[in-house]
Amino acid sequence: MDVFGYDIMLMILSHLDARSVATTLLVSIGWRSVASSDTIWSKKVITTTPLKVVVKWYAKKLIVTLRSRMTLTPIITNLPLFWLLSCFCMMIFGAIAGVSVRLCEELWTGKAHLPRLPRVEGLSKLSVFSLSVKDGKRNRIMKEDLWDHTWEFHFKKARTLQLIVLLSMLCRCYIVTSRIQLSQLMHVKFLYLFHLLRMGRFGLCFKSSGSNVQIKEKLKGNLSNGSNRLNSSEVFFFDGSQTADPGDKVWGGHESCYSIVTSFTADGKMRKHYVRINRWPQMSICRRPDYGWEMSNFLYSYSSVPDAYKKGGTGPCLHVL
Amino acid sequence: MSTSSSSSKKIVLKSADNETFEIDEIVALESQAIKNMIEDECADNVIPLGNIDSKTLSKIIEYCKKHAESPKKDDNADIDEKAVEDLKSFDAEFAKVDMPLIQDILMAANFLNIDNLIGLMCRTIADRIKGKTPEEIRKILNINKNDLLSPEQEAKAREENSWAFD
Repeated sequence: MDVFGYDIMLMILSHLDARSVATTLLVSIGWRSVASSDTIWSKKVITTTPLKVVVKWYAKKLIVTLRSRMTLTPIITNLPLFWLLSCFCMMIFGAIAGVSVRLCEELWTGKAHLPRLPRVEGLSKLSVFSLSVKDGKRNRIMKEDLWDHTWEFHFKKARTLQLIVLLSMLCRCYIVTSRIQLSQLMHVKFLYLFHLLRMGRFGLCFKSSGSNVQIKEKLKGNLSNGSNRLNSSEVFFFDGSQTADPGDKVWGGHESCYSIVTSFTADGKMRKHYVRINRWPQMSICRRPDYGWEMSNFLYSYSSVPDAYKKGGTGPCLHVL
Repeated sequence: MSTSSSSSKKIVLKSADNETFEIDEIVALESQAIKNMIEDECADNVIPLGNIDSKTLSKIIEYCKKHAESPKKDDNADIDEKAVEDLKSFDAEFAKVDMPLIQDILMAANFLNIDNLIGLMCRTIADRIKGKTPEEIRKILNINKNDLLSPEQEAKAREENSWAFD
């Protein structure tokens, strides 16, 4: 029998961090009953305002933007101001969103995304906490992750950008020269350049629902042997025309597709997976400590924009045992 | 509470081993339980405390004396910085005792309902078990062998909360 009463034990545990509380689960039967109580874990899930976090993130972005503006100025001359403004708007939006947001104290502080919490009755707060932490360490990206987050697009280097623009220009020249005049070609060139740079500023947005975004989902044959939870190859199409201007002559109606590719080797282990958009080089995935995602190849990278304020969390629904 | 009228009044506490401690009423009032007793006028001159031994009781009285002397937060808006610091270092020094005594003090403080002391002791225990392994915590808290989890229960708890144990 434990010498302290329930209330005293609870008071002691309330001074501890989540990890130490979890350790006391193993100490004795009495301590386990207190350390697994909803009282202690709902305190760990008490809400705070992540205003600081959100603003900090956007401020960092602004600095990065300012820096990259310096290197890109020779290419674009008329847009930096607009760019700057949009970044300020994002900051203000982030601040407003931050105020109304509620995050779980210890677990959620400073996190970019919150996992989609299972709404299962009778699930203890401790289980929710454990499942969430587990999900935060998941390195395998899912289609839900791609859909739920807004992604920021960056080129690795300004020089790479110039190279890509040049290459795509050449490709486009090849296609269009036969049909249109040089002046029109120049027009297309400008639009293409414009679009590439705009993508760099606003990022692409994968969306899973909404009336204006049409998604065609196509599941390729399941190559895995036995497991039906992880599809070896999943291909999702989204109509890229909605993310560009309706009048955009370059990307309007253009269909992009992205795929998460993963496969099993002979010994049943899963290979490193990657994400690919159209025929661009495959992107490797890594997870930041703040639960955010990074996808990158040698040309460009995508990073997920923090959206911890989204109610109910983001990403795939946690699997409850 | 009014201090002027009762400052001279003495209260006698009697420990489990029949030792008596004579203290000022203001010191005794640190304990919510004794305060209630006095207010309800059900306290005689001597208050017997059958479950607190003299060693623990003398420690508690030491704590109450110090805290009764120092200015209260709600009494004075601009408290002396030095007094606060002084009290803090006293608390830190006070908590430097071995675990069984801390447990005794905590139980007694809980019985006598001294909020500050309960908080201090809980913090002290929490500090001592923070970052320790389950085995170390068992040793610190002197957990009875009969209360341990079965190996299956322990394995289950470890698996379900694997994030905390790697």
